[in-house]
Amino acid sequence: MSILNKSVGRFPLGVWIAVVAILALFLGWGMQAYSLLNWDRAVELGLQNERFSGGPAEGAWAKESWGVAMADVIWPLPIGIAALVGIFRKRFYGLLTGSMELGIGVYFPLVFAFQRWSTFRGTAITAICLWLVPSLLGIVGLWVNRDYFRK
Amino acid sequence: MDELSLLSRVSLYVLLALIAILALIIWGWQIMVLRGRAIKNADGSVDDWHEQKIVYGMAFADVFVACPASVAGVVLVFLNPRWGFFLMAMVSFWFVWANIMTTVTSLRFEKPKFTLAWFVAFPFGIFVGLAFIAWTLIHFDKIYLH
Repeated sequence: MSILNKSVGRFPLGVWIAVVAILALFLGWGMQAYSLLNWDRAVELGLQNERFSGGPAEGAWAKESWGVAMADVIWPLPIGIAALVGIFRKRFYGLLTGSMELGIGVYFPLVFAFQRWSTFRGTAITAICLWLVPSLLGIVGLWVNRDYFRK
Repeated sequence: MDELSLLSRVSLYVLLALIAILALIIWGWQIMVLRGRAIKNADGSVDDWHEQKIVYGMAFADVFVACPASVAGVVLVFLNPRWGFFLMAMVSFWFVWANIMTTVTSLRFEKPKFTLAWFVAFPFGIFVGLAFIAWTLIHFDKIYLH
């Protein structure tokens, strides 16, 4: 039995890591939802990096960021809710939707890091630490505890 | 897999074939983008990271994470269904997410003509991903719980 199978209260450690990683992703989806409501304010708060009015290059970045924000709110946000419900109810769909959610948690910080490493390195490192690493650990944590969800 | 009906198997193979074809096309496309070629999209926009560095990150993630995972998922469904379907759950989710992102961006900012090429390049992946997720939900017990 690996340390990720070790029971810590309600869940094995690996499942706890996945739960924390999903909650961390919710922070991101919340930022994205707020950005769609008030883009300029979101830039001021540092939730987004580019303005639509900032010239052709910056505008192109803003368009892409807006598309990502919209996709995040339409798709990973509701799936994340399903994942948390499934995990807390110990249902197998929690394992699946949790894996889906965490898969995006690995993918998008990687995209972000390679896009913005030279311009917003601090933000890229934050995305890697806050979302990529926990999501990767969460996927492993869910997989090694897959039998837990059959109860 | 043996417990699936003929119709279920055929629909699965069709969906896997579509996902594999789309993943291979995106893989080849993004490799060219990563190498620095400027490639025109179906909505008139151009993927050229020399002009817009935003394109580089997505090409990198697609070439080294998403597309290999998609192809590996399709192959594993036949070699080791348990691993394969688990990986495909993440792949189908990525298909929906990435194509929603590109489609809404195209619709809002590029004002595209709704041609067959645009449909295949942008929203088609959403339908394929959702169809695979629907297939998974319908056959959930047989593919995951047996």
